[in-house]
Amino acid sequence: MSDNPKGPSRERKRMARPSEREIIKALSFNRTFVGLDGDDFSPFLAETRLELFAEGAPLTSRGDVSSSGYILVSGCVELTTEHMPGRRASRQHFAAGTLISGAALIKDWPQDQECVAVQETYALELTRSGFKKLLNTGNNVAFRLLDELLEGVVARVSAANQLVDDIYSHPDETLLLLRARAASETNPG
Amino acid sequence: MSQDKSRAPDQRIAVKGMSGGPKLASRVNTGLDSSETIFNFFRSIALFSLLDADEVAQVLRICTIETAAPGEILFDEGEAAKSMLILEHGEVTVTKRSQGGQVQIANLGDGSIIGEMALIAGAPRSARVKAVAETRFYRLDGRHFDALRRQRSLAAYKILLMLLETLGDRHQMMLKRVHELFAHPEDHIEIFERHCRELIERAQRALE
Repeated sequence: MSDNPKGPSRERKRMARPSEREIIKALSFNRTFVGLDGDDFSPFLAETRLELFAEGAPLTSRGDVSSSGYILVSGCVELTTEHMPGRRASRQHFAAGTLISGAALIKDWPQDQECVAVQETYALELTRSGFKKLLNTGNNVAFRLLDELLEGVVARVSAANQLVDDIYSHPDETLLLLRARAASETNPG
Repeated sequence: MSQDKSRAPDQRIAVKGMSGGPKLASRVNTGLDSSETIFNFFRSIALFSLLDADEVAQVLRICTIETAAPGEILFDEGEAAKSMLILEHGEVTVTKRSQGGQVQIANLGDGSIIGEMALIAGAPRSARVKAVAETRFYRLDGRHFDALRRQRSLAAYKILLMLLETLGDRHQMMLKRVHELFAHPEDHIEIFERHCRELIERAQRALE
């Protein structure tokens, strides 16, 4: 466990470090983990590391290849996704149990999102090997995380499919868009 | 599509090492000659590569074997997706409806997985799959798989883990394609102009 916050240091009162009991209580309110008990959480917590992120510290950056995911315990983070060059969407998350950079638990894919702590934030760091070890022992928290990841990837593949479909099934509109972008690159003024 | 004449649709297959159920797969006509061959066949497919013999047996218990003659449609675009198919032997084409008719998007053979989204999403089939040769395949029913998942079966979760990896790769590929397109628009204008011309020609042919 790390007591020094990651990211820029701030001269302000440090958020109290949550105990294992408080972490379990906070996580069990999240719909992903509802109904699970201490027997499920204990092996999971043993595989994780509680990290403190200072305000403004990044948890993940776009393009990074990481082998760790994070589960939010307290605080707040902002997730920014770039759907296509120049088109970004940001959303703030503060619910304990929110999975961040979950794809890193599966494979070395470059991150397509960036995540920054918008206030002091505690998050559990779970490595890919730790996650797979938990899965192989039939740990319910790992099963629920996999369920959550599947739900997310289905939604993202479906959105990407829609985007590709729009691009290729309306080639005339795409052509106009490409010409406009090419012109603005040639003549940015 | 026809059920295998040698087996009733609800019969289950077994492999060596499993407890309970029928003793040996080769006693039923699976097309593969022994339980070990069936196990090796399943293990050679990425989706099942993490499963041990008992877990393969668990999956086989919820599979049926079917055959399709050349020209038979295994499933059609827009249909409700209720099962995933594992091609044991044969060949199928995957086509999508377009303004000019059916457009072939893939040709699949032995060991291919078809319609895997049926295991995790209720979306309708996104394409038509038709046999172009005598084809044998395992059908993994989505409801049976769901039951396995609800029982917290490790076999089900190992399959889901590999499925997640496949879908993630697909997502990355699509993102890369879209980003390349918009990051370097000048390189793609010509391709799109050609694409427009092809669409118009296909539509004209369909009207003739």
